[in-house]
Amino acid sequence: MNTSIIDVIVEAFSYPFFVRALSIGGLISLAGAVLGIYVVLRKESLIGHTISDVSFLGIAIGLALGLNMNATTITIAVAAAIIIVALQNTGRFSHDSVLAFTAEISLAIAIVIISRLEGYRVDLLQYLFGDILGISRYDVIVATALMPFILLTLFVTRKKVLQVTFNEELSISAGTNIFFYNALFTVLVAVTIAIGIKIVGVILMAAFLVIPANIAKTVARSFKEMVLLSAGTALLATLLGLMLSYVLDAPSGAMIVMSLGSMLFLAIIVKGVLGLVSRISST
Amino acid sequence: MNRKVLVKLDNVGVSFGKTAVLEGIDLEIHEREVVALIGLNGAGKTTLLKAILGIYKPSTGSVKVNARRIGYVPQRLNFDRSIPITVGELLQAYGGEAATIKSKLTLTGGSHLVRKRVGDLSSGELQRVLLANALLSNPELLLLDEPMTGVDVIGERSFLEVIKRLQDEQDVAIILVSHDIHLVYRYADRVLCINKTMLCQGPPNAIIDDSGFLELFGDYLIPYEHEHN
Repeated sequence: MNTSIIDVIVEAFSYPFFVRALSIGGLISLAGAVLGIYVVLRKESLIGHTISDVSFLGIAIGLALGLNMNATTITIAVAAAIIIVALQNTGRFSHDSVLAFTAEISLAIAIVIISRLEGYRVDLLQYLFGDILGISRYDVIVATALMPFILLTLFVTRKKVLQVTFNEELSISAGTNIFFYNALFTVLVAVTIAIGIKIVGVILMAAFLVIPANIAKTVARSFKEMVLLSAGTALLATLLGLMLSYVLDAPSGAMIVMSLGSMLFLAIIVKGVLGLVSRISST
Repeated sequence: MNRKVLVKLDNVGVSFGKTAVLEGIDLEIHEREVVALIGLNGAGKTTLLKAILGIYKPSTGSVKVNARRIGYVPQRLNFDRSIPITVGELLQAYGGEAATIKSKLTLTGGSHLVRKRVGDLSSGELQRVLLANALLSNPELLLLDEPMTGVDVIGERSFLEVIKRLQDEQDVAIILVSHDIHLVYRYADRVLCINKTMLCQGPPNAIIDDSGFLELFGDYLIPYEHEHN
């Protein structure tokens, strides 16, 4: 049977689960990619894994106490974000050390809690890659309500967040409250991850925060270009990854990460070739 | 003197762990005053500026700042040079409107740099951009931490012209950290010499005979020679 690519795309879009995956995955990837620009520039790429591990602790506490898991996950993630910034602010620990030990301690506590719960087995694959094709109506409501709010908050505070990202001392001299903007930014990242990991899993959420921003940083000539390229590549990779997942019947989260990885590889090659051409033409 | 006091330090000490970097500093900076801060490496000059800015909290004493707007040019700026941000975008992040950015960059001789990436700037170009950034808010107080570091001779002359113009045309007080004693004598209303503690302070002409000044710089004072035709 000869089926054209267009037929496959039309068929995929005829399934509500695919459209839901694309729209909610796209929204999470967009928030992740835009926040990721600052995450990468702040050299805090580890934060994706840290907040994911903290969110896992939120899930464990939710299960143990029989509370709403989304609410406990977001609460624990926000609390951890504030603790992380407060510890970083003391100057006693390097930023990446705080992210690393917060992750390890949270994961350890979560594993102990879950090991005490009778009859519950953690689905590790779901935790790692989520279930983007199995998005529930509830996930749609939470993501569509919170992601635009997160993006809007970042848009309103973008200049101050960029200031503290570029250089904290200059920000202080300009009268900017660096603790407030560091905490606000980390809370925005924490909420995005807490919502995102249930849908797309730890690996894909961390990938959305780090890979599009690095693709953009490789080729962008200005900050504006970096924002547009990061958002664009995240959306494109989500579409490409979901289509490949549908066509090849492969895990969707992993296919999106592979699409992002291919784009990063391509960006490095393009940058290298452009640099070589510019050197040859200048000699 | 009835001029408004912009900065008042009372018995200020700053320590890092058990190491005291500054001790017992008393100081007042008035509006429209140009104060030169001199001292050898490690004397605590940068620490004093950062205590005024609120970057370092004093371990003893109090720092009171009445200036509503402060501009700051650091001696060295630690930032990631791979960040793809242009000079224009950086100055916008610090609240500059396009017209203000253009006029401040023109004032500091950096108007051609607006589209250049900050990471690609030379040390001298970066200092011009940082001075333009410090001037964006029309500050009442300007803190310049060895602003001529990495600036070539021509750049240094134009940099000094900017400082002179600011001094003449705008109501701005300047605290200038410098190693260049000749520069200090030309531009400063008052000289402060520190070495962990305040060793001396006064007008440039009076301070040359101060024992604290001689103790600090006596070996470095080389007579200024110029040729006659």
